[in-house]
Amino acid sequence: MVKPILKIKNLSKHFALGRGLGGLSLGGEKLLKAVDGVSFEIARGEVLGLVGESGCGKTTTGKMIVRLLGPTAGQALFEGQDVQRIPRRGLSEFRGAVQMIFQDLDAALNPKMKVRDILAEAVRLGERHTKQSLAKRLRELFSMVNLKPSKLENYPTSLSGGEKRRVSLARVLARKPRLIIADEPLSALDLSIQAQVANLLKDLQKEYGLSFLLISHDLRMVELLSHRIAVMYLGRIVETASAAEIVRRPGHPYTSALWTSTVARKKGAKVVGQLRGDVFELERPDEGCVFRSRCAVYQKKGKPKQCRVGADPELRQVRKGHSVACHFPLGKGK
Amino acid sequence: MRHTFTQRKLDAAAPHPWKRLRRMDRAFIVYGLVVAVLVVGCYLCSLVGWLPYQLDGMDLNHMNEAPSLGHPFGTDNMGRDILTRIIAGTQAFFLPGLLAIVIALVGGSLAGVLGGYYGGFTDKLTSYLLNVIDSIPKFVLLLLVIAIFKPDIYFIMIIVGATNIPTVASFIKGKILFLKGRDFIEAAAALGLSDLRIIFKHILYHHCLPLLIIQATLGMGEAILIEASLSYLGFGVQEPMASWGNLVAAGNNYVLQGVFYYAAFPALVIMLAILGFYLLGDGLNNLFEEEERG
Repeated sequence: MVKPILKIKNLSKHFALGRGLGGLSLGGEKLLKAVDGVSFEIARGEVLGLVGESGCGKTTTGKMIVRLLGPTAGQALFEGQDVQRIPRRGLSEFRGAVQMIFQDLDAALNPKMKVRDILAEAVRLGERHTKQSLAKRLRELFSMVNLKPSKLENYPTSLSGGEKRRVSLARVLARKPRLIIADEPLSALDLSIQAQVANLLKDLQKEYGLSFLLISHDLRMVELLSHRIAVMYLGRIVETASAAEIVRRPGHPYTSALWTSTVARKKGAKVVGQLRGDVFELERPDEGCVFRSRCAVYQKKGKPKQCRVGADPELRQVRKGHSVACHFPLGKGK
Repeated sequence: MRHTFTQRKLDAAAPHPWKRLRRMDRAFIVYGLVVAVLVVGCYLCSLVGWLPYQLDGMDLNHMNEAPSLGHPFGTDNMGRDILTRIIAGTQAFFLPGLLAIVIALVGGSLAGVLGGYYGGFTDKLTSYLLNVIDSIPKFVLLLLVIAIFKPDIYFIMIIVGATNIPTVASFIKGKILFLKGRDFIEAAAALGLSDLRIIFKHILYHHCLPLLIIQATLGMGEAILIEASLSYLGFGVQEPMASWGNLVAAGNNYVLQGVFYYAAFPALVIMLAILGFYLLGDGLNNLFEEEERG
C-alpha cells in the first residue's frame, strides 16, 4: 500500500454566526458548519475532484489543507505530517510543496507588478539564481504553460482571462509543488479557453506526476480531469468513487440530481429528481439526513423515519471503492 | 459588456492617466509642485546662508519701508528685509514638519497593519488606542501641552504627528481589508511569502505608497498651518528667529499705522503655501485614482 500524499481525517470548520454584543458570546450562538467531519485521501499522482454546489465548503476545505485556515477539529496530513503542526522553519518548504490556485483570476497577480517580477518572486523563494539563469527559468516556466515570452513584460491588467490563469499556474509551478489545490481553476474563463486550460492541467499532471485536489462545481470538467471524485453537500462528503463509476452509477440521490442538472449528461445515467432551492437558503436540520429536504428518494419512500432521526448517515461502502452516505443508496436492492 | 471592457484594457493606446485627469487637477498638481520646490529651495538656501540680506541685519535708516527694488517685500520695524525673513522662516517648520510626517506615516502604517493584517485582538487594541487619540481635539491638546511643558517646535510637531496617526492608520487598514477581500493577501501567503515581505512589498510599497505620499503633502501643509498659528499666538517659534507666524504677528502691530505689507506679505505666503500643499495632495489623489482605474 502506497502512502497517500494527503490524508484528511475528520476535518471540520465551524464559523460562529450572530455574535453577541461587542464580540462577547451571549450564549445561544449559531454555528455554521462549513465543513463537518470530512475525510479523504489523495494518492501520489492522483487527481481527486471535489464537487458540490457553491457554499458547500469546498473552498474552506482547500484553505485548511494549505493552512490558510485552522480547522475546528480534525487533521490534514501532508506526507504524514499534520499541516497545523509544521514548525516555523518547515513552513516555507511546506508552502512550496503544497500550492493553491485561487478561484479569483486576479488573486495571485499584484496589478502593480510586471508578470516577470511576479514569477521571479515565486522562483526566488525556493531557488538561487543569477540574472541569466533566472531569465532562463522564467522562459522555461512560460513554455510549460504555453505562453509567449513577450508576455513577461506585461502588467496583469493587460492580460486576458486565459493568460492570467496560465500566469497564476506558472507561479504555482515555480515552487515545484507536489500537491496542487486547484480551486475552480476553470471558472470565469470562456468555454474554448476552459478546454485549453483543462488540457494544459491534464498534460502537466501527467508529465510531472503531480497530485491534484480539483475543486469545482463543473461536473464535466471534473469528470474529464479526475481519477476519483468526492461529492460534497453542506460540509459533508456524501459520495466517493472513481470518476467513471460515479458518472455511470451514482449512489447518492444528490449526486444523481447534480448530474441531472448538467446539460450534457451521460446517456443511460439514472436520473432521480431535480434540485430546487439554493444552498444558502436551506435551514440545516439538526437531526437526520441533511439532504432530505431536497431529496427525491425521501419523498418517494414516504419520508421514512430513518432519514429524520439520528445522526447524518455515515459513508458506507456499496461497492469496491465506492462509498455513499445514504440510507437508501441508488442502484442497490432492485 | 465584458468584452468591450477587456478590449479597452488591452488597447495599448489608452491615454496616460495624466492625460485623463481633469484640467483643474493638473493645474493643482503643477501649482503644488512649484510651491513644494520653492519651499524646499528656500529651506536649503537659508540653511547654507544664501539670503538676500543678513537675517538679523538691522538697518535703522530703513525701518518700516515700503516694498522697493532693494526690498521687494519691504522692511520691518527694525529695518530687516522681510523677504529674507520669509525665506529663513521655512526653517521654522520644514524639519519639524518632516518629523511630524514621519511619525504620522510610520505610526499610522504600523497601526494600520496591526489592525488590518493581523486582526483579532491586536485590531481591537489598536482601534481602541487610535480612538482615544482621535477623540482629543488637536488644538486643545497642543495648547495643553504648551501650557504644561513650554516645549519647542520639535516637541509640538511630535504631538501633531501623533494626532495624525489615526487618519493614516484608518486609510492603511481600509486598503488592507480591501486587498484581503480580493484573495490577494491569502494568495501571497499561500505562495510562501513571509509576512514581512507581504506587508512591506506587496501592501505598503505597491498599494499604499500613493496614499502615503498624499498624506505626506497634506502633513506638510498642516505643519505650516500649525507652526504659523502657534507662532502667531506667541507659543511657537520666538523672535529673533524668523517664522511666518511671528512675522504676521509683528506686522499686525503696524497695520493701523498704514504699514499693511509687513503683515500682508507673510500672510499671503502662508496662504499660498498651505493651499499649494493641500491642492497637491488633492490632485495627486485624483491622479492615483485615475491610475488605479488602469
